Amino acid sequence: MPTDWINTDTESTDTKSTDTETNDSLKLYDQTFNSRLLVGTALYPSPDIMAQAIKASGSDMVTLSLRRQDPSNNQGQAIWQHIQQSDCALLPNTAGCHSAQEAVTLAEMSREMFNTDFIKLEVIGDDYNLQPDPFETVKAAEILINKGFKVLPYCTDDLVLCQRLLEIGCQVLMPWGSPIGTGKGLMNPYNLQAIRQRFPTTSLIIDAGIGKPSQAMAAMEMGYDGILLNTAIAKAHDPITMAQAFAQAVNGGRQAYLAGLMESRQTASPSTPVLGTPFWQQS
Amino acid sequence: MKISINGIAYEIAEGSSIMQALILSSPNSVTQIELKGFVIALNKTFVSRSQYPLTKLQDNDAIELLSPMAGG
Repeated sequence: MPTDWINTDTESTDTKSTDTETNDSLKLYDQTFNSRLLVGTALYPSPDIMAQAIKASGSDMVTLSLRRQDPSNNQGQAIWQHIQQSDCALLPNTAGCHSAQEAVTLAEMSREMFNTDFIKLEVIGDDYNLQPDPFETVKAAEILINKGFKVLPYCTDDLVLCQRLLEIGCQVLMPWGSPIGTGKGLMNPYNLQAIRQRFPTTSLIIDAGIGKPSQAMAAMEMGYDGILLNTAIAKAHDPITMAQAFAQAVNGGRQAYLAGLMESRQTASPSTPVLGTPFWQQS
Repeated sequence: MKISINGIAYEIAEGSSIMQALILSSPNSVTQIELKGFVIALNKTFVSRSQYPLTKLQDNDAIELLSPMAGG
């Protein structure tokens, strides 16, 4: 097991990053977080259930967005108040942007609104499956890195795209498991495994497509550093209990990875000692 | 001259600033506390709060006024 994947930094300058970091904290740029589960704040039945689900998830970081003010709908304000009270670190997104210029502008607006350099960079290239545009994502990421942002790019599981994003200065990558909101889990385990193996020291988070705790656990067993999800919790019949289930799955997967999984074999191998097998007769 | 705020058209005097446009579009006066509740882009370019009184608008300028919202 490559132990150099494990982040052990305990230094943090962010007041909202966890104050009791363990020696297995999630490292995102210069900050560390106890929880490896990042959750979205959309699609919940109510702001109150959202707040309870965030608490149940144990997450230290939540995603949110900026949208046009709607005077007829106060739910945005209520959600914002609950998020502020949660004391989680904020990860604003650039959801809905289709060009590097739009994403950069929205990131700058988010930095002023939320007072954080973190940005979940989303530049959509196809509206049908919400697939990120690799070219505009790289372009936007480079501009934002140069402006001092801590960019967490939502990207596909393309190895070369991930390589480009690292070359321009991204310290975290967020390849999709499958398209946003599908719940199809890890569509291309081979690609995700290759990214993990080729970039062993980069913090890697599976973002999007996770529908079940078992899928989150599979990604963590693979050595991914964290999971970002929204719909699977928010759209569960009981979002609060589902948040707990995902927290346990992420922790279980992480522990399994650290413990070191056995290698799979093609042939059976008895676990009970063969020596002294009863009823055995030499023929 | 004509400007728009979040896609809604307004008539405003020549040489008006972003701050004057905000006051025009708001039923009440815009306080410092309210200013912290939103952020602005002018013609798809970010404008920081400190620049609202200093940024003069042109005919057909488009202001995006955004607030915190849930997101995934």
